[in-house]
Amino acid sequence: MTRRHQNWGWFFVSPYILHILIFTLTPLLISLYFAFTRYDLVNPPRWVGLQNFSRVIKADQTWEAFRNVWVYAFMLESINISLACVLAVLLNQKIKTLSLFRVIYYIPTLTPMTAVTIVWGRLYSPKGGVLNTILGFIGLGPFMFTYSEHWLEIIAATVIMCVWKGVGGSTLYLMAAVQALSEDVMEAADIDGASPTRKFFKITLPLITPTIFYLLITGISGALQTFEVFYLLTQGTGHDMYVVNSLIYKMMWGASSDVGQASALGWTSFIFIAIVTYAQKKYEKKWVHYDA
Amino acid sequence: MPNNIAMNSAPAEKQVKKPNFFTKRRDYNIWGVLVLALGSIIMIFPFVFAFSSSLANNAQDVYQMRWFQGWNWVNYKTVLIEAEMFKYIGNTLIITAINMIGVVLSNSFIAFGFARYEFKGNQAMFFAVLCTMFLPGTVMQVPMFVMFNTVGAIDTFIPLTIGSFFGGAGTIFMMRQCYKGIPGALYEAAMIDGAHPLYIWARIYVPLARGFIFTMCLNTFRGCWNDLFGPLIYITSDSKRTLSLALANFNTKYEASGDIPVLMAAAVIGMAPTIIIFCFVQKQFIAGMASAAIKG
Repeated sequence: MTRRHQNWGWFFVSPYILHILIFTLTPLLISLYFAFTRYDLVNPPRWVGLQNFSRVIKADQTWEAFRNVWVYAFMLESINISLACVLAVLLNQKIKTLSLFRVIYYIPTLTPMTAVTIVWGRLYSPKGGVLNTILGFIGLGPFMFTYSEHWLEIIAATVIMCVWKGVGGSTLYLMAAVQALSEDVMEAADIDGASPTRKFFKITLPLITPTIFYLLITGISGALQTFEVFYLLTQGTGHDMYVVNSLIYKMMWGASSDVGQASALGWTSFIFIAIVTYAQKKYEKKWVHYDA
Repeated sequence: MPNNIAMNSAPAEKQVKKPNFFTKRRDYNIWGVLVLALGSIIMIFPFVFAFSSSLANNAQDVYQMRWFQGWNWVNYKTVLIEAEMFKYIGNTLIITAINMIGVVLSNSFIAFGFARYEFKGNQAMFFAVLCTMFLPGTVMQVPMFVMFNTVGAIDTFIPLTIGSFFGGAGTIFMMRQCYKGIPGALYEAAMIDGAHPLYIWARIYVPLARGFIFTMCLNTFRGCWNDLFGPLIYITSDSKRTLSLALANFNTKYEASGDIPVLMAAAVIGMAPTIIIFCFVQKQFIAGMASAAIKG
């Protein structure tokens, strides 16, 4: 095909060039500018240098928010992915009824977080909530769950709910990875008399590490930006529990708008996320096998 | 003689315990299936709880787990008519429909450029697409709001829909893989016949990729239906609220009043549509997601 004809490519990708200009580069530059100004959406922005950053770094609330979201992200993703690995292998057995299970495990991922928190709020409720009733039968509890005053208990309860809601999604990806494994390897292991547990740890798990790595990178950076679940679960419980994005929400869309500080916190969070992603990429070689 | 050995050992085998339900040889792991069954009960439990509570007579029945005691469908009527949930569902459907059109048009269009043309800068542009995929939304929300605020688009559906008409990185990536799987000879044959590139895109490539486009539509539906953050910051007037946003406000309002069954009815209304649609199309959907996962 002729050179000129290939230029039709530019025509087709042009909407994305607009996307990058309008919805990526412009907001990034604006946000970088705002981070160094004081701006409340009404009066014009005023240059204040590094003041926003120093205010963000000095506030205890910021570090609490970072602690909360980091604990949440690592707890959520480690449970989510290890559970998904087991489920993916179990769901991959060749029985007809399993397709029903596959659907059941996937259904919670389809539901809106707003509705999920309404339901789980009643399950978690300390005033005769259903989970406390059930745990009471086996002599446990009562727990306060998300109504607790202790941050770790709130996060643990949130993680349980989010694993319930999200594990089906990771399982779907890992199931595709398990299905793509060659049958020969498994048959060879069978002939050698390897136990199911040994096959899982020595063959399946190493071979699906690329997918695990992908889920880990996207999952952690997604969880570090979580907002909805903490906003919904802790509103109305009387305890303020902030993650980074709900702090940004409060600064920007709370009683008054502090665009400068919200931008500064946004960039601080961005830098941390970038570091985590880079670190994961760096240690990728140590445990991810691409040579299968 | 192998036969003799087999016959001799036959009486010995009789002394071995007759395999029971757990030790019987199967081509699957019975413990695994039992674990899965137990797990699926846990997965289903909140839904059954929500549904039975939405029909309950009062909050007391909900908390004491007297399930399916009443069949108060009137709770649904309260949510839909009195709390005007119909209006919010309507808003959500409008936003969802616009987004679906935008997502399908833009992504199938942009990905075609990346997949079929070797123009100078293709690689560099595609790298830019991948970079935007890893850009956290955290840093974008505030300036986007300021931008929409400057052009006076707050409290309209524009901020919630316009982005979809310019493509999304992840979808472009998977759509490009999908086009690459279609033989390039098709394109060249059509071109020799004098077809316009736009015609080739719309009449040959888009129909061939309809399986993936279908998955794309479902994902967009789910995304719009479940989105809370967008409506939360951009919608201020009650008449323009989406279902998700209305539910968030419902939670605070009805938890205080203690009318748990009505609250649960609202939650069921929020969860039901995506689940029902999914149950009808789950085969295509799971296949589409899985193939995207492998190729991606």
